[in-house]
Amino acid sequence: MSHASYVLAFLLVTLSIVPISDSLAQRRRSPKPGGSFADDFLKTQFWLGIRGGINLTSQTPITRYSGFNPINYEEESLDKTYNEYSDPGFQVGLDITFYHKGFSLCLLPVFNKQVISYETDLRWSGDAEADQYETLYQAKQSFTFVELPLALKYDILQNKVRPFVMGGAFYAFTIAANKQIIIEETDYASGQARTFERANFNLSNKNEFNNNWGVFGGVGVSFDFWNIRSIIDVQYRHSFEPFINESERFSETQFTSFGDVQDDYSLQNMSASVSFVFPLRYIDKQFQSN
Amino acid sequence: MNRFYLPLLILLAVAGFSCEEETFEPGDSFLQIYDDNNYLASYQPVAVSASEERYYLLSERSLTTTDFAGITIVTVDNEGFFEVESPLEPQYVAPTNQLVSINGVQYFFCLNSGNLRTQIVGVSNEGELIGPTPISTNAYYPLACSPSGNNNLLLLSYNPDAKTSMLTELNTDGQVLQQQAYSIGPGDDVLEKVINHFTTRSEKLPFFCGQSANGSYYFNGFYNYTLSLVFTNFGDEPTGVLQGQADDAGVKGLLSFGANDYAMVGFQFSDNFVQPKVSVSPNETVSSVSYFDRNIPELTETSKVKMLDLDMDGTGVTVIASETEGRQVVLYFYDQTNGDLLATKYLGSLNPFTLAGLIQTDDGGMAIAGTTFLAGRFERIYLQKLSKAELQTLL
Repeated sequence: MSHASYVLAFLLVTLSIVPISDSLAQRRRSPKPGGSFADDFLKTQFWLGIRGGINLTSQTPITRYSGFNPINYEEESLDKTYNEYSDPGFQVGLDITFYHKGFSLCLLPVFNKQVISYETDLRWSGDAEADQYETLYQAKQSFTFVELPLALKYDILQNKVRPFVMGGAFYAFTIAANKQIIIEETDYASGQARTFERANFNLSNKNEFNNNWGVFGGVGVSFDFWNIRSIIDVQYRHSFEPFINESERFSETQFTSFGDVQDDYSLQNMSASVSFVFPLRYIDKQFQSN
Repeated sequence: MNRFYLPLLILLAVAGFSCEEETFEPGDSFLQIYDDNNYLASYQPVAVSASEERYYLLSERSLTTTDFAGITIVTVDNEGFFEVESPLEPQYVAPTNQLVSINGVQYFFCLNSGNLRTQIVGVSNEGELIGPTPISTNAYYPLACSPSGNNNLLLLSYNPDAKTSMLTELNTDGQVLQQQAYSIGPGDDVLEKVINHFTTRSEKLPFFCGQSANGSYYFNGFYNYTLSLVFTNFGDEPTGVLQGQADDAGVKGLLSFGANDYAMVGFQFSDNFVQPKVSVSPNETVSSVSYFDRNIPELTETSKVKMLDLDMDGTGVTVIASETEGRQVVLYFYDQTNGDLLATKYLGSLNPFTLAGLIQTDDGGMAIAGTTFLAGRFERIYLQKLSKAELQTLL
């Protein structure tokens, strides 16, 4: 069964929430004896809105690789030095939430761009002082995912200001990947270091990656004003396994000729988002902000 | 409420299935580059061969004691990862530009610069040197070698004393089975050109030898003062000759794939001519230029040419590999039945690539070796593997 089949099944089941939740909502439109209309409204609700924000990404190397095979030095010297949570990305998408008695089931499909960066340095040296040469290879790798996170959220307080905690899992389709390379070289031909930029280019490398998955958790707070629920949340995403396409690792590319091949690494991501969601059931003036 | 957990469970299932490991088969494509951090080190590979477990890269290396190139063997595993380097002592120089694989041992010839005797060298399956062992021939500049029938070796060499090009057939112990010398004719010696071939990169000459599908032997070397393609049955005189024009024109590469069918690359001054299918009689004496038809301007004046008879599930494909003005390696694939061009592939991108050799691998793929320049200045060996699936897609 292909990944697409699983995802299709997932979407069908997820979408089935809508009529189920709607029928539940319809049944509750008639106020129950002894309960207020407002309470009933707040107990069960379906929310739809938009969300967006920024994120920072890090990575955990699992197995390291290099496009160069050292003949007379240690392979570890070719290890990449990764920067952690240094390059901002962004996400924008939808917030589809079904709320019931303090718990919410959230589907948060987003267009998610994440960025990592690393550098590698190489050095060749001889007996003479002038026989020294260095190269610094700086890479900025971006991924563009269409991500399907599903989370369970619990509102700790159920007032107009509602702090919450959430947790769930996500599956991310890799729809694009890009790598920007800057190569700086330092020549000691005259005894003094002279640094110059040899290359600066940007190329697509989506074929080097598979889809990604992981779990996530977060905290946030929502505010009910003007018939709109505004939500601020921070999330931490954790992938456990590499999503590198192994069959492409050593294929000839513009990168492999510089010794740059993908390590096996998993992604960790921290994001902050703002959502604006609207209740899909009756909008009533008693829920407006004063 | 339980029904709302269902999508979460499905999402986790999706994620779980996505974790299926994708295996990396050794037969897959790869590009590996072998680096030495010595500023003064320089590798110029001249040939590649393979066993079931390993690849062997025969390379020249710079020596401080002589202008002739020293020799080293780099052995890598079947995924291209470096295993061992086996340099020969500095007195052994001038390796032939082919590794001949016989019964799991890779053979080549070289020169002992101390006593000017030609040596046969074997490389074991594990990459260990067997020899060098001197051979009993008085022609001491080894120019080229190839396999011949019955698991023997052919050696083309030059004897500056007798001014002869010599073709020798030997067994793997280095015992001479048959040999014949052919005079380069009266006039000036070609020794200077032979020496320059070994010492000056831009003055390499396309020496080669082999045995045709029809059983006749051939060599490309100096004969009658021209760089000629000579056909012989080890008789006193050649059976046929494709005469060059001094060393300004001649044959650069030859592949026999039928009784009299050959793929040929010729050169005339700066031009290179590719003939994917041409019929050549081993019994005629003509000018090689008469076979030159289609000039390929993208090939450099000094480009090496290597050819491969590629078996694609029983269909014969001629691969002609050479070097372009764009500092790439180009592979032309031709149908052997009609000589039609099937595909073209280029190797190399931002770093320049040159050609040393190419072979078909046991899994139906193809491996190409050569040099690339790290940081634009450090000459290092690359090994690129094209999988059978990649070749099938290409063809």
